[in-house]
This record gives sequence, structure tokens and C-alpha cells, in this order.
Amino acid sequence: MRSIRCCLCRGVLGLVWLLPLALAGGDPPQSRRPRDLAEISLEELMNVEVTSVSKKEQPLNRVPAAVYVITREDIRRSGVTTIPEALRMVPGLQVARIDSSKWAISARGFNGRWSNKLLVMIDGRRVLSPVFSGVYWDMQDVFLEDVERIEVIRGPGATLWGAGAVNGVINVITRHAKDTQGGLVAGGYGTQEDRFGGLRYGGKAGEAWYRVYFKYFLRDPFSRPSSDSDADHSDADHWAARRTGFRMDWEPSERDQITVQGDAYHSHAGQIVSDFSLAPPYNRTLEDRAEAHGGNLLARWRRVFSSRSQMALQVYYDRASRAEAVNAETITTWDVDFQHRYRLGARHDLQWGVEGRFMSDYLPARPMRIFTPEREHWPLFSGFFQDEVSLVEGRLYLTLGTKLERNFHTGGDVQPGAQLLWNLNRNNTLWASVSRAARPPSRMNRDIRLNLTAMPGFGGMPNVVSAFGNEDFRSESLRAHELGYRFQTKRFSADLTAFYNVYNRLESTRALTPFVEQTPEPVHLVLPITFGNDVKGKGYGAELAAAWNVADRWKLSGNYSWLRLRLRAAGTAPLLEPGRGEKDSPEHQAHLRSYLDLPKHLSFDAALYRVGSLPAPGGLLARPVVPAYTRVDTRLGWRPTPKLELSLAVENLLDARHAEFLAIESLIVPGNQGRRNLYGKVTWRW
Amino acid sequence: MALVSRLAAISLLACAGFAADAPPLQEHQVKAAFVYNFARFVDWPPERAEARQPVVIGVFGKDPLGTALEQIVQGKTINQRPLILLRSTHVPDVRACHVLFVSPAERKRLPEILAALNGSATLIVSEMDDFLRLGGMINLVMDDNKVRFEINEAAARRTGLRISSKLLGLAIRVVRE
Repeated sequence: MRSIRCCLCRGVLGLVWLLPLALAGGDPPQSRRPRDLAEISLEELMNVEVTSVSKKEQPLNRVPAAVYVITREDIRRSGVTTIPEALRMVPGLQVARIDSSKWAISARGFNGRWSNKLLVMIDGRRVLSPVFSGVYWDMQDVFLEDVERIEVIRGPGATLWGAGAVNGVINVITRHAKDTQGGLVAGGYGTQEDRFGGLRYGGKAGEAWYRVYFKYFLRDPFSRPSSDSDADHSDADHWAARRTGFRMDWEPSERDQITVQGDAYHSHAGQIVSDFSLAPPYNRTLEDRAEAHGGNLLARWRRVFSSRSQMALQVYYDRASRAEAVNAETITTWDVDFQHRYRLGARHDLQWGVEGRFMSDYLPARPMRIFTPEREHWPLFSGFFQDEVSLVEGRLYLTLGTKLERNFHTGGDVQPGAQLLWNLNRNNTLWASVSRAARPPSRMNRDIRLNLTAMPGFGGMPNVVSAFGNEDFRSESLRAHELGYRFQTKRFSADLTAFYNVYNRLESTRALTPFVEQTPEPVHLVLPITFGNDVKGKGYGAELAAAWNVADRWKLSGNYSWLRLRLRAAGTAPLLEPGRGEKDSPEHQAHLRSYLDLPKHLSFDAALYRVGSLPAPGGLLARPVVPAYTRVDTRLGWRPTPKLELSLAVENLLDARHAEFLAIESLIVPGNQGRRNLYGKVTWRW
Repeated sequence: MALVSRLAAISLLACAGFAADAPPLQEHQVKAAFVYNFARFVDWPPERAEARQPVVIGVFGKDPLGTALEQIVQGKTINQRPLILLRSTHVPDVRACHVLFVSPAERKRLPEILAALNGSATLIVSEMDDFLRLGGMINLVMDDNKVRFEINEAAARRTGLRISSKLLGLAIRVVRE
């Protein structure tokens, strides 16, 4: 009798051990309706720990990292029409517009068309192209009225998000469907925005909220300098895009939250690119058209088990295709992500997760560049673990964590991190962080052959400079040390961050032995350069952001960033311009913005940006200096009724034309310059 | 058996993370429960405390707390007086309330509301910055993820309300002048 009971006990316990998830949930939620709330005594109420079904967000003074949040109000009052333009206000971020549809965006250095040190996500979906580990910003045309906020963290977010988040993480978070109910129409017309419009409708289907949207815009080309020797390309870099999508949110119970969302888009943009041939004239510029289309579908399930434990499960599918003269790529991604958060005892806040991703790409050959192999698919597994220990309750927190990533083609990376946060008192917080981050190789680093330029050579045989990928390219690595201080009162807040980054195994280029190539005709001499990991260096700097509520109707905010990069060759092999990366980001950047509410439902908002110059690198991909510039944006808004808003905005008020970046290495012909942009917009809700 | 019970203890602890020990309560539900309890531990002056006359709990402004409060007060009584919930965005309605919760979204209308109440014995509750300084009587605040409250006992006393010492003892801050 007793032994049977023991066996049964063991059996049941075995099940309990193996299937904890199945046991979760216990009683059906209906039996614990608010009727019970009236029966909870006052003393018991004082001990109840509140949870929200959505992932618990830490108040800013509890985050040991350099965080900046762009709010809905910031997006609306700055008058920006794209995400890259909204990112300009973030301290420590370099945002430089290359032409009408392209931006070079990076954090703490290493900016470029192919900048690869940022992890960018939209609602937790990665939008990096594995071809170069960066973002095609023209394909991330999110409907800005549906954005809840954009969180930017400078510095490695590696522990929670994974390889690729070397210098920063950007997460665009869209609004919950229940916050976008009803109809919204927004549209406008401008000197450069030309025409743009969007339509969104949100409703309720049974218990679920949903919204659908459609947006379209056509942007005028940027101007070109009149010294352009080629035929007038004045219409060349127009940009048109349309996008549609939906989001549905459903709370089947008090503990569960399910979201399904998806988008589909199509865009085309003009651009001027370098083209070369093996016969004179060896180099010329070419009008090109980049076409992009794609779509994604994402589902997310969050469940709160108790006030101590919650989980999130996310699955998404993403397909992104792009075709232009220099490049064509189709990337398909499947991703499954599971995260769990558990409060152990009174002191430990644990988070852990596993992710599986399967990517496949198709990179068909182009005259200027070939990938070998053209098609590849690879799985990636990663896991992370983090423990936030409260050493002194409410005051001192130590966070330790690590991420392990296994990429079947390029090995694995371990990225540990440690942070300390000290709440001196309600108004002052100090934090410090040491962490390691890795940037795994991209397809470009390993598998590319890119013909950069051609020139006449000896004996009539043309010379071609070609960049070759390196199969032995390893992950770039960063060891980051950061220190931060936050001060906050009712009306004023300041956030100061200083960092010291040690980089190793950074991308380097060196020349290999030239060789003669027969095809394509005519016979030519190839001057090969290849990628290696032979640059190392240090980056250091500081970022200061402040906000001041001068009066109830007037808010001022601003920031200043300082950056210095020192790169040099590691080892003795001769490299081509190892210090080149130092010159791609300005040393000083400053920003000031003002939101002023005027009577009669008017508002006047202004922003000032001052960006330092980019010195000229020499060598193979030489370019001239990009001078420093000042930019002023202003916006006048009027809300005659709560449902109608009209606005008139001027971007680039002072300086009609200036260049922000010259992306030589992308084969985009330099010389595109920004224009003063005046546009009006109407937003109507019903 | 001792081994099994030890195993039981360990395995239960292990899946404690996944098992539901208590129903997760949302912030507005807990705050609504507090408002209900405030009504239970406050005495009104005789002219507002007639036997069998309903106690009106008002919620000013659109607020999720209203829905939770509705479910709590249904069929309940305080000192044999039935509880009624009144939801309004119309300032003159506040005069009918014994307890008034002002939604934080209605901060701009607070002066209007206080003027309409004009010193009548209404317990004014909210959850907004500086509420006590602005004239409120009880302010709900979050401390990490627990709900707390602070009381301006002087303001309540001036209108003839008497707040029980039990409630005053549990408050994180009491203003007595």
C-alpha cells in the first residue's frame, strides 16, 4: 500500500518537474474576478504586488545604460516624416543623410552607408540585412502616427539582444491596437516632401482590437551641385513608397496578451551610382533605380503567471527584397524567441531566453559584384541569461548576464556583461557598466567580390580594383566601459554618460598580389584588396542630455555629444588606411529643441542641430572634407478641435543646401545635398 | 516518505516560477479596492450621513479604475447605506458625491472641481503629482509595484470629515496642518 502511494507520489512529482508550464494557470481566471477585491483587507492590500500584462517596464532611473526615448510627442512636434529623421535628436547617435532615400546612421562612431554596429528592431523584429549587418532605412517606412515610442540605447545591449548590438540598439515600438481606435487620415504637400498621405482605421472585432493602415509618399529628388559634368541628373534621386499593414491585440484573459501584426511594402528610389567598364571612359555615373519590396508577419504571446513570473513567446517571418544596379538581395527570415522573467526571493530578478533563427538569402550576381555562393541559408541559436541582484533594496543593484550565440557558419560568440546601479536618492542615480559585444561577419565580409573602380594601366591593359571577402573573417569585438549619472527633479532632468570602448579585430583592408584575369574581355589586371580583422582601437567620449520644463507651456531640451576614435593596425602586415574609420563620425554634435504651447490651441516648436565636420580620409576611397553644418527646423501646429490638427513645418530653415555625408564606399555618387523643405500637413481623426 | 516530501518541496519551488500562486492584479483594480476601503474608514458629518441614504462614490473622468470600482461596489453597503457609483465628466455632478475619485487625466479641471465642492464633506481622492498640495485629500502613489497612499488630514478635517486612525496609520505620509 505504502509503496504504491510512494510510486504514485514520485510519478506525479516527476510530471510536475517536467511540465511546469502545463500546470501554470491553475484555476480558470473567471473564479477570481474582482468580487474578491472587496474582500481583501486594507492591510493585505498594502502587500499586493501589482502586475501589468504587458512586459514590466523599468522606470528610467533603474536602467544601467545610456537610454534615450523618443516619445510620440517628440515625433509629432518635430515634424519628422521618417524614422531616420526622428533619430537625429538622440545624443550620441550620428544621423547623416546621403541622398533622398539613404542615411548613414550609427552610434559612437563608425558611420557609413554600410554601418554595421547598430541593432535595429521594429517591435522586436530585427531589420538588419545579413549582407552587410546594417539597415536599409528606406525599407523601414513605418507609419509614424502608429509609433508609441522609439527606444535608443547607446552602448552594447548585447546581453539581452544578441550579437550585432555593438554600439547601440534602436527599437521602434508601435502602439497597442486599443490606443489607435477610430479613423485617422493624415496627408500633406511640400516643396520636397511633394505629396504624402496615410490612412488608418482601428476597431474592435469581438474581444480583440485591430487596426489597418495604408500609407504612400512621393519625395522630390535632392538637388545636385551644378558642377556635375555629366548630363543633368536633376530628377535622379526621387523616392516613392507605399506600405500597408495591420495589428491586432487580444487579451483572452487577465494574464494573456496576444499580438499579431504584419506589413507589406513596395518602394522605389532613384540614385546616381558609379559604374565602370574595362574600356575608356573607365568610370562614369549612371542613373539607377533601387526597387525594394517585402513583408513580414509577427505573432507575440505574453503571459503573466504570477506577480513573480512572466514569459513572452514571439514568432515572425520576414521577407525583404531589393534590386539595384550594384546589388540585389532577397532575404527570408524565420525567427522564434522565448523569454522568461522570474523574481527569485526578494533579491533576484532573473531573465533568460532562447532564440532560434533561420535565414536564407539569394544574392544574384551583378556586373559590379558577385557573392560566392549566391544562395545561402543558415540557422542561428542563441541564449541569454541575466540576474539583477538588489544588494541594497531600492538603492544598489548589480546585474550580471551573458549571451551565447552559435552561428553555424561563423562559430560562436560569448558576450558577458556586468552593470551596477546606485540610487543615491530619489533624484540622483549613478551607474556603471562593463560588457563585451561582438559583431559577427556579414556576407560582404566573407563572400563578396566587389569591383570598385577601373583605370588604364601599363601596355593598354586596364586595371580593376576589386574587394574580395575573406572566409576567415572573424567577429569584430568590443569591450565597453561606461559610466552614467542621472539627475531628476520635477522640472529638470539631466543624463550624463561617458564611455571608453576597446575595439579588437575590426574590419581592415589590405592589398593582395595583383593577378591577370581573362574574363570578361578585355584581359585586365586585378588589384585585389581583401578584408581582415587587423585593426584595433579605442573610442571614448561623453553624451549629455537635459530637459527643462521652463513653464507649464514651454519645454526645452537639448544634448551634446563628444566622440574620439583612435584606430591603428594590429600586427605588422601593411594595411590600407587603418585609421579610416576615425573620420566617419564628427567629434562634436549639439542639439537644442523647444516646445512652446501658445494660446488659441497653437504650438510652436523648433529644433537646432549643430554637427561637426568629417575630416577627409586619403587613400583608396578618398573623399573631401564634409564641412560642419547647422540646421534649424521649425513647426507651427494648430489644433482647432481635438480631432483636427494642421501644421506647417520648415526643415533646414537657415541653410538651403548642405551635404551631410559622402558615401564613397557605397558607390553612390557624392554631391547630393539637402534642400530647404517646407511642407504642410493635416491630420484628422474621427 | 521524508525524501519524497523533500522532493515535493524542491519541485514545487522549481515550478513556482510557472505556477500561479495568486491571481495577478492590475494596478487599477488594486487602486479601486483602496478607494472602496477609504469609504469604509471615513466618517461623514451628520448632515451627509443619514441612515439608509446611499453613499455615492463618484469617478470624474474616463478611467479604468471606474470599471473595477463598479464591480467592487455592486450590492455592497457601508453602515447599512447602499453604495452607488457615479461616473461623470460634468463638474456640477461632483456635489452629489461622498467620495470623489478624480482621474489624473482631469488634472486641468481640478480647480473647477474644488470650487464646485466649495468645502462640502466629500473625500477627494486621486493619483496625480502634488495632489495634496493642489487641494486633494488622499493621493494614491506607486512604490515600486505596490500601491501606497498619502493623506492630507487637515484638508479632510476642515470639511467635517473624520478619517479613522487605522487609515492614517497605513498612509506613507500624513499632512496635519
